[in-house]
Amino acid sequence: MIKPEVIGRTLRGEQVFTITKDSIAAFSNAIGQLNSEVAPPTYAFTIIITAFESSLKSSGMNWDRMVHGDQKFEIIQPLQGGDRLRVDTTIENLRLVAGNELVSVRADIYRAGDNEESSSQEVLIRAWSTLVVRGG
Amino acid sequence: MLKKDDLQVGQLLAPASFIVNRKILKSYADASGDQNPIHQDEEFAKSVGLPNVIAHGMLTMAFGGRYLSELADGPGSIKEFSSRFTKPVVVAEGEDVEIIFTGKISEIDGNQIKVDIEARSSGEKVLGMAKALLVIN
Repeated sequence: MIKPEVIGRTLRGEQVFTITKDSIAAFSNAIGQLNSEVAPPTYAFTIIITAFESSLKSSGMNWDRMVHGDQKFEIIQPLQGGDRLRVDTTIENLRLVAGNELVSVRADIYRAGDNEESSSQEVLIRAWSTLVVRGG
Repeated sequence: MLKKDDLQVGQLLAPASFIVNRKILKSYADASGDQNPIHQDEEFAKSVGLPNVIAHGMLTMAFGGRYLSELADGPGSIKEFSSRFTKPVVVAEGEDVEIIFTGKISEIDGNQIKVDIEARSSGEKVLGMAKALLVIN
């Protein structure tokens, strides 16, 4: 179970993700999409899920029983090769429905700086997910 | 490709169909980092109660992103994109499974349009409430 005290809290992501042109090309190739300078809209989820795994597991979530319920992206600036990024996680809500845990969680993607002070405050992508932890 | 000057609310968007098979599931798993065995290992998928290997929900959504990118002027035109994962796309060994996308313009505001899209596979809706906000030039 997610610890109730983390609801509403933003967990700062310290991991820096470096986006490569090759990883964008591999993603585009997998879905047969013409490769372009900017990443496909859902590409951001590849780093978001890594950030979520670390922040949500440490908040008590049973990651192994998780399924993805819904997903929303707001793309202020699309990702590109060479971007160095970090992802903050905010656990917005937790509901228990029919024995399942519904976790509403937001990711905010920022450009990473060399330290906390120089990290940009400008959000590139904001994404909302509902993750369902199946009871059992 | 959609052009700003000839758009109407209620207008249907040209449909598109994409193929998913086991090879594509492997490529997507490698490209996305999601190596959950329910998307690749038939025995494992069946052991957890699934009918067979299923596609990643995010792969179906990624095809939706491709659909929108090709309607508009590339992936940079997509400002918002959301969807529910309602039904899994089941992918049996050796099969090419078709996902058919259709869409409709629900709102126009200057050079921004809102669209509702639908994704169907084997007659079933596989994405729910899928919507996007696009910039059209």
